[in-house]
Amino acid sequence: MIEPAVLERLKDIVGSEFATDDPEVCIAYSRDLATYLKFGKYRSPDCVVLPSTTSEVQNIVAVARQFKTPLIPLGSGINVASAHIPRKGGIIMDLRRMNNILEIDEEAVTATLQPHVTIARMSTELQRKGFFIPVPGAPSTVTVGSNYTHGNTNKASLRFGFQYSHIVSVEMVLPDGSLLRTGSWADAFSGDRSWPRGPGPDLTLLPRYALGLHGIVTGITIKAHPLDDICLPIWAAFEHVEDATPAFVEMVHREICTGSSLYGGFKYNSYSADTAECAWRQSRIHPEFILALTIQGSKRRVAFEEKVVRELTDKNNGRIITDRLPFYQMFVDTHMAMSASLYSEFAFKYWASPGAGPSFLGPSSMDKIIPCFKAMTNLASEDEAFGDVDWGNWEFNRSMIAYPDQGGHFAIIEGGIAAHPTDPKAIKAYKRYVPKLIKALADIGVSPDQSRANTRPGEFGISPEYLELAEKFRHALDEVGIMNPGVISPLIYR
Amino acid sequence: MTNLDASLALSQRLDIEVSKERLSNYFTTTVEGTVSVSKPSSLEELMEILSENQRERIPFIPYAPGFEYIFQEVDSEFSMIVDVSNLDRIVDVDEDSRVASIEPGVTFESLQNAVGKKGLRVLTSVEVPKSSSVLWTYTELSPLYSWPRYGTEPVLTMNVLLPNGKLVKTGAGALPNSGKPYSPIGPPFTLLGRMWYGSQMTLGLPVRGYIKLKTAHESNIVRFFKFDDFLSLSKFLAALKRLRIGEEILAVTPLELGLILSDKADKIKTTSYPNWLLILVMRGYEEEVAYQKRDLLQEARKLGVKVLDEIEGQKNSAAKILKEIQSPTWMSRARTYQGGRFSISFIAEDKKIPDLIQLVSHLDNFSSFVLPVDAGRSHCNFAFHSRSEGRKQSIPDELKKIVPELIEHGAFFSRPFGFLSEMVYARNKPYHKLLKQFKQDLDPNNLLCRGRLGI
Amino acid sequence: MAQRKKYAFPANRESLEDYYDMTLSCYKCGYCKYVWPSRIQHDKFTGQCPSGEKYQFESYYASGRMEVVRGIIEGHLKWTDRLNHILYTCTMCGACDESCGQVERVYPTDVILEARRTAVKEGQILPGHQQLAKSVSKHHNLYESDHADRNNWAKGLADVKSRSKIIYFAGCTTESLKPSIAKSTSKLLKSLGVEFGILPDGWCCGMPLFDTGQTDDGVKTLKHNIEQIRDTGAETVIFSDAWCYKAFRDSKDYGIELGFKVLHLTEFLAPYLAKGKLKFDRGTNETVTYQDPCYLSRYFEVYEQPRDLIKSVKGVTLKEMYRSRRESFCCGAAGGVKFQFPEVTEHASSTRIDEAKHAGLSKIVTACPSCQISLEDASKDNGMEIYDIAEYLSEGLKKTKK
Ligand SMILES: Cc1cc2nc3c(=O)[nH]c(=O)nc-3n(C[C@H](O)[C@H](O)[C@H](O)COP(=O)(O)OP(=O)(O)OC[C@H]3O[C@@H](n4cnc5c(N)ncnc54)[C@H](O)[C@@H]3O)c2cc1C
Ligand code: SF4
Ligand code: SF4
Repeated sequence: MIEPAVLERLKDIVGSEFATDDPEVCIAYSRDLATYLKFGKYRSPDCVVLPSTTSEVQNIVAVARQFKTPLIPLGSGINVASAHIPRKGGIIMDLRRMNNILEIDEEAVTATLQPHVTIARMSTELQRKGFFIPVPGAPSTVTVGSNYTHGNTNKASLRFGFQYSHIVSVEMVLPDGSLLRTGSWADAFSGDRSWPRGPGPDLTLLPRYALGLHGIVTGITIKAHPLDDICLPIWAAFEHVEDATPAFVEMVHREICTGSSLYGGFKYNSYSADTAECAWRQSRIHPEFILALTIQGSKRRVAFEEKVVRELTDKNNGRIITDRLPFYQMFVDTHMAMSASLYSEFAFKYWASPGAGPSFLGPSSMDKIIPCFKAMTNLASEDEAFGDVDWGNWEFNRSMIAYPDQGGHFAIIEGGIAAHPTDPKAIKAYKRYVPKLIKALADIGVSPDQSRANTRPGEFGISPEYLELAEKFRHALDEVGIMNPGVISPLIYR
Repeated sequence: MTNLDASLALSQRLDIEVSKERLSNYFTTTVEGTVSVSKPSSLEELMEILSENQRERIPFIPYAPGFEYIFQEVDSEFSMIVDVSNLDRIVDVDEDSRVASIEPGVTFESLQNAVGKKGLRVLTSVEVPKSSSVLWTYTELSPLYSWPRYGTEPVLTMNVLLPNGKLVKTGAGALPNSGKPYSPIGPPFTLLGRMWYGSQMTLGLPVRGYIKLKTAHESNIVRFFKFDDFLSLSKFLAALKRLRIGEEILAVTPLELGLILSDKADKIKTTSYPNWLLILVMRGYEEEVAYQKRDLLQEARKLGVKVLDEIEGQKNSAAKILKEIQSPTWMSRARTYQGGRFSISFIAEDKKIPDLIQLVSHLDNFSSFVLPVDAGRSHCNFAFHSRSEGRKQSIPDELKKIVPELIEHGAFFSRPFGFLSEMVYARNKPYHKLLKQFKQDLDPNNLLCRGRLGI
Repeated sequence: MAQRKKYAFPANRESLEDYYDMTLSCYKCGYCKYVWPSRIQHDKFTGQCPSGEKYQFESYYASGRMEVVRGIIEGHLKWTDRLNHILYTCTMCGACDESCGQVERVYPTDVILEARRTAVKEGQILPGHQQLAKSVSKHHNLYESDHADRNNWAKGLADVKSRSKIIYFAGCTTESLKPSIAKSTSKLLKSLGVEFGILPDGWCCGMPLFDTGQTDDGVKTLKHNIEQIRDTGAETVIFSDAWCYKAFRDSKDYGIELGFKVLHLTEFLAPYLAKGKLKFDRGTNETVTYQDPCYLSRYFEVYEQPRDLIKSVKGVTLKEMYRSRRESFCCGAAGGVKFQFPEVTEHASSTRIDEAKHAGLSKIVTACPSCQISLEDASKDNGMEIYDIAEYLSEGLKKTKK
């Protein structure tokens, strides 16, 4: 229940048509892709408000503060930790109406925008001007404001780094209602927002994976890049991880390729399968490991890097398969036109897990990649979650991906159970399997990133010193505790 | 007991070496004075000193090799220097991930030697002498880089010692089982991994860093380009950026070039040098560099720019440059040229740089180097050199007057050292307010680098 | 608690509960909200959902509606004005189906339609829709027009025939509000020497009734028409109105086998054009654009025929708006929306007019009277000219004859 006075104030701020506590409206914010939410209790907010300007956001924050009402900013709403689902009711601030591209600075190759511009829109607009932004492996309907602050990898990570490295400066409404700008945007007079650092201690990452706790991003400047002459997706297939990984690591060491990820186990194209059987069939006819690479640059660069890729693939018992794929051109086109996502633009029906998104996500040094994949395979062969094909109870699949960050000094390992998103049985299978997977990987020295809702309580906590410091800052910013309360506790402290 | 006495007394209590030294042995400063200097030889000792300082309320300031270059002016609002030079372990060099795990006392020179044996190299910045601390240079001068290809984040994660003596590990370091904590993201609040950059040691001390190493390539080639004005240089740079040519890129004025090339700074003759010289290093496998050379030639022709293998009239200039990048010495020379160097660094749009130069070029022996850090943006260093004692006093005052004008004309001081911080933060009040809040949380007694940054 | 029924296609489902798994399947990926990413043409025109664009709350997009329907199925939501508003502001434009079909295959419009049917079963009929049903029952048209006047337009142009291989079904919107479309259609058919008849007692096709969940009433009026047509022995029926066209083409959903071919005028004309039997000249050089009627294009993939016809007019250039074909943006009239929530129609149409203007266009051709009317309403003060394709082409016929 929201206090009538709160709702009245919100309506005054945004207009009565853009604030409501009607349960029929609120219910749409109660759930996301997470399977466990589909079968759990309703987590509707008490009311929803749609601001359209930064000052409206400031006023809304002031109201929430005055009435000590929880406030949760919402971007695209498909983060894989259900971080925008209200834990304690309150106000959802859906930023949908803040969707203007404010400026594209062609000299600085940056774009400044309100948070709710989608990746797809931003890409289109930039490409028209001869630039591109690396797109995440997410549906390109995700918004820049939330994805750049909360997403990870993109199709050019190896060359440019993860999404957050593209944040140049941010404008935020802090939990006390004041306005903060970072980088060169911090200068109140110059209007320049092209420089990402400082002044002095660097606060540009204040919103990065803060789950809304540090305030609300109302503007963001991001870095883009000039379009390359050629963009070439090239995939190498391997039957063994012991072959695929050295090829992968050597490519990284040779500093070639713009993007790279290693897919194993559950195949990329199974994402689009409607049924478990269909996914199983598809996985049978595809290679065990795929190294999905992109090469971008001048004609000469691409020719050179392609040659190296082919040599290293060959040397490591792999084969290049892109040449032979009938739908290859589609990837080439979408790369240049839009997204290089393997699964995002081309369906991901069968890909879901009860914990929301990947069951495991954690950073690994390059030498741990093989052991991680091995651990997954070993575990899967002995875990009943994966059923028996002959008996037709093959409902789940295992999956693992490794993708390196800029320069390939480490990779993020993403793994888990793939299942049909509406299957409540998956929750059980997941609950049994994931702790085992986490344990197996921890034994290797690869820890889950605790920001994921689905990692296990207790066993693998973030260091207390880190949390203490985080809590200090959170408190300094929001002593009333209105911002997305409870989002951290089930994730970390529970 | 004065603070100084109290800090000297630590020596006996903790059994850690604390000595009395002249402030000017450590920092360039106009304030003369004596301070106590503690020189811990292990992290544990350092932690002890910090806790003790907290208990005794002793203001202190950290020092690492090379800091005399970074902090050109320091306040004397402290009574102890904590010198981490002895924390100089190269803990690990991981060849698979190309990461070194180092302590702050490790210098570019020692690390370069250590990793060179494994076919790797350390990213250096020509501005920073080889005797400087790698870790603290990376965090303090970030993003000081002349290596556009490798981006702005040479440090992956860090262990930071907070003013209260507690240790916080950032990024993957905050996760358990992280023997190799290389990922800067992972746990929530990535800010905790980033805010130490550019903090001028006001918030905490990085005591361990996991830093990126790069492959030492078989082919390393230098090319030079002459330009009459900065704008045509900038146009050429944009083309290079698109082609991704150039591992290291640096633009210099004649005097700066002279300082780089000459062993004896005072013998420099700059008359034959171009207004701007662009220096570009290509690295890679032979075949790789070969195609880049062709790309470069093609682009240069298109833009009517001549590609030079050597600087005219300067034998071995290419080799000298490579050596200088591998193991920078130039700044130590530059600092003695004409008796002394004063410099300021900022970020500016390329198109504004000529105007900015106009504002200062009348000052004594002006020289500049420019690092093209991003599209249409450069890191500029403007330097002035003077022998006269009088000028040594008055140049800083003159700069103080000019800086506001530079800011008005588009200079962004992302690293507001010394007197700059007041000017910069006057224009960035909300930012400064938040910094103060964080500082208050981390260092309630304001002991660490008291007075710096006005926080 | 509702049971999950797995992997059944919409046609195999009978009650709202049967759609439960579809509501669960929604991934909240958001593709249904926007133009398919790789086909975005202009960053200002990327929205796809007319009701979502107007009201902006998640519940007014397909993805949110899936949650709302889930709430109904699980007994969590009661019938309220807001609930009805959410269910009935959807124009059934099918843009969400188009996108979702490429990702999750949730079939949002099927789910929404089933929810409307359930609403009706449970006594929830909105006044505008009740009125509509009354009008159809009493006057056999949507507009309370005098049924006797329905064929007034045909004088001298078309005849009621008791037997005819080809029947032209103008539809009540055309008859009541846009008779010129019927006249133009007849002229076009005549110019080709096509022998056709019109029905003696044609009723409303029933589409708005189907769309508003009043299925039984819809089936009644649809069946009447089908019987009339069958009586003429027609093999082909030609339609001007995309709603009527859809009502007939969907007849299988109500267990009816038609026994005759259903063609939109543009489909009927296309082969003649291909054979060179149609030549148009409006005597001007101009650039026009085409508004895809959702019930013709997205639902039945009639994209090319109208475009070919327009392009064949001498001196005419066809320029697409930023959103076209599969990504076309609905005029906002369908789904029963304009009878209850005309503000949604207005909003959608003016958005569309803005888009045309932004693309430098001043003339829009469409192929459905309802699209024409709503776009005209949104063009009153801005000089945008809106044509139905039959009108547009038949004016070109005149010139040819000269
Ligand atoms: C199948 C799938 C694959 C994906 N793959 C990738 C990938 O490869 N790479 C990648 O980068 N991303 C990927 N993502 C997307 C990524 O997970 C999300 O973009 C990211 O987690 C942020 O979520 P969101 O955009 O949905 O924002 P939301 O869910 O709306 O928000 C996430 C959090 O940020 C807060 N928040 C939202 N907006 C603001 C704001 N303006 N200011 C402050 N806080 C805010 C919210 O309160 C919430 O706590 C993938 C997603 C899916 C579903
Ligand atoms: S496209 Fe389908 S699955 Fe995705 S949000 Fe829309 S309705 Fe849900
Ligand atoms: S049919 Fe059209 S109006 Fe209805 S939900 Fe789908 S896109 Fe929106």
